[in-house]
Amino acid sequence: MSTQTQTETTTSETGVARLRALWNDYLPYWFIAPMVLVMVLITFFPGAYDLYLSVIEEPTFDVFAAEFVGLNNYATAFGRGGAMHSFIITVTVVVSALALETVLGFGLAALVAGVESERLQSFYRVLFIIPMAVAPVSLATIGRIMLNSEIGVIPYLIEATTPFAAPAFLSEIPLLTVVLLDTWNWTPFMFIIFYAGLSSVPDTLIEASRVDGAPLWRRYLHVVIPYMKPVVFVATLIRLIDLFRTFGVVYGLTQGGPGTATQLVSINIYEQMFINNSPGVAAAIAVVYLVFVVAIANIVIAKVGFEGVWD
Amino acid sequence: MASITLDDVTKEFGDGGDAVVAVDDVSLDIEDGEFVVFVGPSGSGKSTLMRMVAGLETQTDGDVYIGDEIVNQLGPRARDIAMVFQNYALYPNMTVEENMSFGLKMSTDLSADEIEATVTETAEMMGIESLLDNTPGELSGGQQQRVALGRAIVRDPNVFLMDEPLSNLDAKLRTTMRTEINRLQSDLGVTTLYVTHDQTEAMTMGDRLVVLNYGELQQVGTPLECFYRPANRFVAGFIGSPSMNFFEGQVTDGTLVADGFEYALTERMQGNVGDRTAVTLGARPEDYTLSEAPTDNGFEVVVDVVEPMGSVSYVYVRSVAASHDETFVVEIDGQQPISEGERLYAHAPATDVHLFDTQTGETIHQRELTDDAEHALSQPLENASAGAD
Repeated sequence: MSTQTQTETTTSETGVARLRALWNDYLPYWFIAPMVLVMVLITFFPGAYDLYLSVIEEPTFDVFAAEFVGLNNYATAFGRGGAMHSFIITVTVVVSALALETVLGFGLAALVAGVESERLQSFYRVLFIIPMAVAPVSLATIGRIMLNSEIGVIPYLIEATTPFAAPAFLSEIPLLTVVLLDTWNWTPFMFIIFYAGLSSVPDTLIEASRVDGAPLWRRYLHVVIPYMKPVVFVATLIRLIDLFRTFGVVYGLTQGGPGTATQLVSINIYEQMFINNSPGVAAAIAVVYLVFVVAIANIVIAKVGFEGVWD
Repeated sequence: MASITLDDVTKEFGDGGDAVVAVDDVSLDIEDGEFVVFVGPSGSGKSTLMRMVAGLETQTDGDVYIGDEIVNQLGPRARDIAMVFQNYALYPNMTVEENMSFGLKMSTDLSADEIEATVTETAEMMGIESLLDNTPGELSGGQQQRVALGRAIVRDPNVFLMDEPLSNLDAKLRTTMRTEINRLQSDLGVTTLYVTHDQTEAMTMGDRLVVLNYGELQQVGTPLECFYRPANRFVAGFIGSPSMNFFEGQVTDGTLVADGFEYALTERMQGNVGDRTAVTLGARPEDYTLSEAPTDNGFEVVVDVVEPMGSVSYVYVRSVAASHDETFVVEIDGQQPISEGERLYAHAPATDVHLFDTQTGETIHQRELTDDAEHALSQPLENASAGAD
């Protein structure tokens, strides 16, 4: 009996030892396993499913029963679907909004950082951040009311203070209006990051350039902006990727219209899916868009690089 | 080249009730080509005073002159100054050459060729010509320091301002750079203001010291004047290392009675003390002797700690008769054998002690000097001591 017990113990001990060896040998993999699992579930699986949707006629209950249509959906997307037009609209909006937000954000940050009174500074800080805290659709609704040619405050102000007639923002210059609304919404993001970046520029560096006799704009050009290069880069990269995802503020303002004048890729995808009931076409545009945005982000990182980080 | 004059300059930070006075009504004349060291503990206002000369701060009250011109309203750009900062403040995105030429590009009309020639010449003088294409991040602390100096020198300004330029260097490099800055300053002959809290730098570098405390001028004078003829107890304690020992006491019948010893005052001392009773005796560690036999004015002490420095030893001793256990420092020859717990007699000769008014801190009796030393002190005491009046 004692022999038997001993054998059992030995067996289970061997089992434990084997498990322990397995645990120890692959220790790093065990540690990253949960993360990998989560990544697969939230990124890889939806991506793969999107790819699958883009090459079938329409989704069926049994995934293997769906009709394979090759690149038909892609052809439809770039034919009748107007995907190319949406890409051009999107790039236009992204580039102009990014430029405006970067310049305005930096300008505001520099102005507020230059305010001497601490109390006024924190007041401006809060004031300039508010638009970012408003939900995109609410902001779009507020925008619609403010821009309305009958009751809107902006057309009223333009006509009251300038000799020009106010344009019909949503029908005559819809693309510009969309860019301006997004700028209103997201300049605070750039402002707050640049503001933080500006306060990291050492005072003595500014003082050294003052003693060297550099006027204000040269101080910014030669000393402050080069020092802040990493901050500017990260802020614009985040904003760039985020701008490609813009949906709510534009959809709330124009629904992509008039016609397809402001139909961003995101709006096109939404309409293919929920208005045209063409999940295949929507998925096809989404796949191309994903590749497009990832490629742009990588090109930007490769070209500009994260260099310029000084100790 | 230019002289600098500060006329009743005051600087307050903050406003209303919680204003902090950083510099309190300071007047000062600095001659053309002079090397003046502002020295004082942290918060004494020495940096603020220099920054007002630079134009980086604006004084609350008073006038700053560079040459004969009032520069109150001028920014640093218009003052023709060059400054060396404690952390060097080199532009990290520029090469050494760009760092050095930036000021010339910004504030002169020199052509690119002339600027390059000037920069190369200065770089050779500073021994940094091989570093011109490097960025500051690639340089050691000492090299960055040289570049920062070079950047100031290349401007050929009216005034050099140096704000604790050596405090980020290690001890050995600091000694070398100290000598080098001294040599450069006398070669170039540019009026120089130098801020430091290091009293070795203060003693060895300046033509004159400006000793500040709590924003008030304590004394202006040559380093030796401040050392041998301190205007008050603060200067006496601040200049010299280790610091002067102070003993507060009461004077009765020509004898100073302190806690732990009595000191018979000479006739000259008694004359200087007058009818004051609260008097502080000050004696430098090197003026004390420790002996085994009792001496006049000597008192028995017990050795607490011995710090051997090599050529000298700092001995921390405590009076046996004292009611407290505070120690004071005595400097003795490094070869004199001494051990902790030993009982000896401490003695400071009457020629070497200073007396201060305990209430005001003012010096009421100065030590005696040899005739040569007396002669060497350029100015008499009356002119050297300047209160903050």
